[in-house]
Amino acid sequence: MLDFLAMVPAFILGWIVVRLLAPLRSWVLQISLGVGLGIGITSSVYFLLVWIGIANRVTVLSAEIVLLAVAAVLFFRSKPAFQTPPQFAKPSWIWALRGALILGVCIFALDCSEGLTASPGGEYDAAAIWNLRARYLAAGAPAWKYAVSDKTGTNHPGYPLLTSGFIARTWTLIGDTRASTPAVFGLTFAVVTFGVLFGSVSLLAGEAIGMLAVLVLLASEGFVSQATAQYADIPLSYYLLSSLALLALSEWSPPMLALSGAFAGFAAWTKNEGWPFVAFVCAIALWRGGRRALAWIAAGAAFPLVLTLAFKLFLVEGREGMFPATAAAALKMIVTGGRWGEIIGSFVGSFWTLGFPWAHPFLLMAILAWAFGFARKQWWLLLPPLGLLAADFGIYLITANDLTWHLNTSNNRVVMQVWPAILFSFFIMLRPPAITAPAVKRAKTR
Amino acid sequence: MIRASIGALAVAVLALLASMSSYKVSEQVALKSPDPFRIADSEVRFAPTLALIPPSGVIGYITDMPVGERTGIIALMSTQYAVAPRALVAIETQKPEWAVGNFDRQGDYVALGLAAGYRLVRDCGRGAVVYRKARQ
Repeated sequence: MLDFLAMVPAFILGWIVVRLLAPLRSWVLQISLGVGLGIGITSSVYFLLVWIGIANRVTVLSAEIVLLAVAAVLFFRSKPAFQTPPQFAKPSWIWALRGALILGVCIFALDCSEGLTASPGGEYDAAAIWNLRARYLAAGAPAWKYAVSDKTGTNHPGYPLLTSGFIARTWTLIGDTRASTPAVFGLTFAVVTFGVLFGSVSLLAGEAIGMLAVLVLLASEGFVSQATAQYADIPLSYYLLSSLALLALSEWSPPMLALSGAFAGFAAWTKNEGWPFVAFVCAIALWRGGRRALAWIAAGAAFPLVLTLAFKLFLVEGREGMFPATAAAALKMIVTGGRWGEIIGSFVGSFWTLGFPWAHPFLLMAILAWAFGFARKQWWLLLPPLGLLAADFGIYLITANDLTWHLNTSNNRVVMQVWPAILFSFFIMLRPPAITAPAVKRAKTR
Repeated sequence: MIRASIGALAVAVLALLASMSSYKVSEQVALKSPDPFRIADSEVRFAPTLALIPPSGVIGYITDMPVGERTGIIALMSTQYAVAPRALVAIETQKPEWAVGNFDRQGDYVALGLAAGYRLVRDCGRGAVVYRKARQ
């Protein structure tokens, strides 16, 4: 509980910034976006304080209070002009979906409870990478440098630090390194991922379709089982989804584009996969919205991207030996047909294991496509998550690691990272339920 | 509208059944293999060692488990996490002043330490041992 309370200032900060930049008429979406934005901002500030050697409870609290005060002043001075979202019919059976959603969330909570009972410290990479580096960061000098150096046995010292940074920030505030903090962090991200999916799809396609989107995500065992793993994959999936959702909701308004860029940037501060995603979002913004849209996305992404670059260029000791040493070696790997077959097979397997065959997410999506049909034409929103999968495919092609090992240890998570964003893109293309005569009457009398 | 209601309700029911199955899988995993990577267990085992070794810096690692194999890799990882923020290095690569031992089998921990150039400071039980560099 204390962990969560120590996280609340970050959540409030993020919520205020979201309210300032994105006048969205959905409190679920505002809060869900605010939580992740606050985590991104405060983990960055914490890391900067660690880097300059002054991170402790007083300085971290002071920095966050200043940020909160500035945001609060701007908040009270601003008069947000809320978007008027399109009105959608509420079908007569919506109560059944609401009941199913509440039940689904309760089952998810029980599922997480079992997961945390079995592995309170998370899965392998949690202790080997993310939480270990958080312990180093929270310890201050000289130990924090172990988090960014391979000389002391740290795995992947070049991995970005949003996850470890925010956990360390919370440990610094509460004064110990309790095991519950990474668990609370992981669960928070799973919950706000549901929140962003529900809120954004509801605004774009109606509440019924928003709830169905979350139900399909809850049915995705591959996603749900990661909620208690304490890895950085669910946070990454959240940032990819949020960036895409804001892009779809923005109507090319500069503040919302900047916010979409910020979420894309924080994806790069979460995991290296965020980099190609940023590139794809920028390309989409340029293609659909023009140079001005691209400029606002880039402006929003600038801070986390510069921070991540500075971290990688000036701090990290040791390099990942993931790529072949020469272009000729890479080319040789690319032209090896067996590698293509193995990678394709692995991707098919990873999508297959996303859910149980009799209730597979693709089966559920096919049923909904039959039931509702397609209306919206924002198909291009699928391109950034699919582009990221293509980039991952390319990395596997030229990985210097043993390919089978590399696929076995990461491919299911690679698919899971883009899964909420793919669901979002699919669900906003569905045709919302038609307004029936009584519903039209009710809508007119409002 | 009828088609939409049938589709939506069918998906809601299937999704709930899938969630229940997912919960059942987690329940079985929790029963059959709790703490598979020994992360929580190592925190308990190595807690008594933390008061004896320096609060920061590099600590050596002595073990009877093969560090190139799965059991040895998992043991090293969970011990490293348990003693963090100290960095843990194999004594074959560095010889820090202090070291911890992580043993799978009961054995002569004194002799195992001396063979590596360390004297036993305390056997904390359950294979967790504290060593200090032996003076020549």
